[in-house]
Amino acid sequence: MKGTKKKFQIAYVFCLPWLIGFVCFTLFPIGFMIYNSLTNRKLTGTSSFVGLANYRNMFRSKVFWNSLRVTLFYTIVMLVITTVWALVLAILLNNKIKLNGLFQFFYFLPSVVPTVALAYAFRTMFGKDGGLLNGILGNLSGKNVTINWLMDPKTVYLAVFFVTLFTYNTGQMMLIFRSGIADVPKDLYEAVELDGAGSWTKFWHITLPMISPLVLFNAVNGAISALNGSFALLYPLSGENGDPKGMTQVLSLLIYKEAFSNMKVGYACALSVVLFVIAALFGIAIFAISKKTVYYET
Amino acid sequence: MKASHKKTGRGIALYAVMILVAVIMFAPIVWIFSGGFKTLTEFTTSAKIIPEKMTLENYIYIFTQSKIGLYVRNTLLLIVGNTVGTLLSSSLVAYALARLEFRGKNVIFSIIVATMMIPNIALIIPQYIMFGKIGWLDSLLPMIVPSFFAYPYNVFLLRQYFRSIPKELDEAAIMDGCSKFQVFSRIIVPISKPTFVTIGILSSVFWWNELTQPVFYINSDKWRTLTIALMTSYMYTSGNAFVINWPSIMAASSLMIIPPMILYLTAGKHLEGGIKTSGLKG
Repeated sequence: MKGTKKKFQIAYVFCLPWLIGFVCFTLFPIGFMIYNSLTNRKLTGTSSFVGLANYRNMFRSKVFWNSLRVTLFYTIVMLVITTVWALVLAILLNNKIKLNGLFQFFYFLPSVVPTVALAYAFRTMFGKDGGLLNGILGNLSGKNVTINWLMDPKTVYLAVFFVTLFTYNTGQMMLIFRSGIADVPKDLYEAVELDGAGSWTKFWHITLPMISPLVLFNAVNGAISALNGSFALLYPLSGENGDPKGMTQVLSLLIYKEAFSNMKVGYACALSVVLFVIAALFGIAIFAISKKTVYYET
Repeated sequence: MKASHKKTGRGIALYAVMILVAVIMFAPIVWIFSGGFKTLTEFTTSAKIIPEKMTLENYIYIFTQSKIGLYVRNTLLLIVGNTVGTLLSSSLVAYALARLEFRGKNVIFSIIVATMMIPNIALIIPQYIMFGKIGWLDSLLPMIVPSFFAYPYNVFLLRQYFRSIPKELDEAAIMDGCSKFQVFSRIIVPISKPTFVTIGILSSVFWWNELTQPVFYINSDKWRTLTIALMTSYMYTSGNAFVINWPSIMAASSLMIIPPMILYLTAGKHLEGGIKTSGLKG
């Protein structure tokens, strides 16, 4: 009896680092965020309780609704585009050809390049003067092309979503898909080959159904990465105002702007609560899906 | 004969597509390296990949005029601090979850899985206020200290690995009179070296690239990481604070690409495997 009691204590000692970290860096900040969202805290100085005023202001603010729309739009479109692109890359790499390793190097390396470096590269490649894209289009058309891709409301989404193809998340999904495709049993393909099926049929009727749990899992997982990673990509790409005209101002950029440029920390906390709730909803979705499709050992 | 013609035709088409995709994927990297050797005037007026007037001035500027050594040091401090911190703490917790029986274990594990879903950015403002209260702002502490209290993600990865180690090894050691902690330090840790390396690699790549937390926490030049230096120190031309010094940013960026590139070329399989498993989380 005494022995078992002692064993219990040792296990808790092993768990102590996590417990302290969880309380100090997760649980307390959550409470503190909710508390501060009810105050008029500024970046410096004293603050007082203002009830739900921040939330009232938030729900009346056009900037907030725009940002919420942009966040959901950005998250969902990025998710779809990067998932499809990762799948395309994985399928291309699955062809057993010479120099495959070299191709994988080219396809994968961008995802471990620092996001801020990528963002600046694309800001200039998509730039108005001396930009690579305008240069190529100019050569092809013979005319002088001067589109400011990231600043023009007509082209900004095209440009931004193109950049998301180069992020860490895309590379990660590509690797996951690649091993998923490699794990599809060969005899499944052989069976339909006898019926004279082409590559497209094979992909559509065998590969895709076999890896569909991965596709689903990756997609929802990507939503959380998109929420989290949006700041590091969009802050250097379009700034805290989400240029042009707030079209790329996701919630994380607005939070930063309200806290540091407008110094309204209490209000920024109210915005953080909204972001937290959105992440929680995606989290619940991923949990529900992974319970069904991915085998968890507990 | 006809069939083989068709096959070579398809093979060529496949190569063409794969090369095109490779060109697209590698374009930003080529652009960065090319931009680093351009003058500011050429960079802002011409889109040629091979510079007309090759210059080393950007690299000379970075190595002689800027505090590159300081920025590298700060970034390395983040990498080393986080890797050491998370390996020490996360492995202890993971061991308890994988091997010991105690009340509340499933609750703890569920909380760990749930907290993996919280994006850092959602809690960064309250954390900012909190770190401000204890005087940690404008230092590396907010980005290093938490790692000594176990990152859920790494606890999860290590727990998975520990569970794959045969229990007989533990039992034999306990028969020989080892304590639980000795089992952990003498049996589990040495066997788990590959996973420790994987987590070290992932954490290094993460902190080499991390922008968000330094943007919030760092103010002064003294604690700038390379990513922050890219947005500040290398941003403007010395003569004019309104002209962005793109070639200097590109040159600095090219230097920041080299370590991940070397890592890929030397430990590519490990890097890819780690990124893959961390994505699957199980």
